[in-house]
Amino acid sequence: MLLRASGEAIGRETDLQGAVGEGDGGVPHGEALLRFAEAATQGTPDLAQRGDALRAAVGREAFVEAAATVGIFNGLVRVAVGTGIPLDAGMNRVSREFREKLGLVAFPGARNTPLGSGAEDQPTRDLAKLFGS
Amino acid sequence: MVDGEAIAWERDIRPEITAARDAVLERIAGPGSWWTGAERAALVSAGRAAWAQRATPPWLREAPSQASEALPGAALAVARTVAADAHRIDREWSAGQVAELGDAAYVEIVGLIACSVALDAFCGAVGATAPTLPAARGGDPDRVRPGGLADIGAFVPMTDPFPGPNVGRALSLAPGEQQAFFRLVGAMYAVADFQELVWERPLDRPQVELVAARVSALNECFY
Repeated sequence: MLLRASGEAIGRETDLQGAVGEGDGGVPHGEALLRFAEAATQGTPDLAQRGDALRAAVGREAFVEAAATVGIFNGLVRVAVGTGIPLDAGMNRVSREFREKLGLVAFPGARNTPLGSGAEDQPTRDLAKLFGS
Repeated sequence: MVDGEAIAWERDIRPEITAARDAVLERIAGPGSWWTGAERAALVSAGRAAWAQRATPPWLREAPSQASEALPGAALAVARTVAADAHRIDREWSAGQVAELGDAAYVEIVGLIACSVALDAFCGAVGATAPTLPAARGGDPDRVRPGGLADIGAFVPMTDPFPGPNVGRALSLAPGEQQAFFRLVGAMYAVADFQELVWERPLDRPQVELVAARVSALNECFY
């Protein structure tokens, strides 16, 4: 959802298929970013090669930022999956179309969010309060 | 700075990430609410070993023997599964571990492993040296269970009502881990500028969100 919204904010048409590893997501150096994220998350032997390719493409500082994103999202998904949180009501509503399109409904965690419960019609929560701060 | 040179913590990593890393490591080494410092360090070591072998099928992985002698099997199973096989976690599995450990002790392990995986995944990705855990500190777990919890349909109770999205309250049963983990989130991703869709950073917001979406999908995270 934030891929699409942040792309729209700068007038860029992003491609959500990037989430499942197809295409380049419609962002600059998207393919290098995807291959790097995959190698780092899965621990495949080509990680150094993918990292070198990304660093050559985006520079050292951006490469470190990409690695930080890989790291923290590997943590965030463990918090979400380990505790079984359901989707927030607003997120549930606005992401329905692409969840089905990308096949995300097949993930085990999809069962944590009862669909058609009426909760999905509640207003979207303030994203600024994501971290309860 | 030579572009081909290896990434070094002191030179190349933002100070707020280094500070958050140090805070997390210190927190891991001390007593929590349900586990001692030594137990927490052993759980993290088991999780780190599993993460390091994530590309290997679970039945072929080697486990550190010292950890398996001191801890309940369910605790080790949670540490290893959350670290390396999170896509296998479902309500039934979680309920089985919670029944053996208690819900708050379970969540404390989830929080510990989320922190250690975030750091190890970052270090592995960037090619930097993974941090060494400090020596475990003595002291007893405080056994304090937070109040104000309710069943929101997750595997475990959480703070309710809560003003933000569910991920922000997922670790409610382990407030110390929640604080440490979200300090990492703030340093490595965003907190203050989360709602800003246009970032003036080395990577723009859509580039960051593409990486985030891919990592989430690879872990089969529906949230």
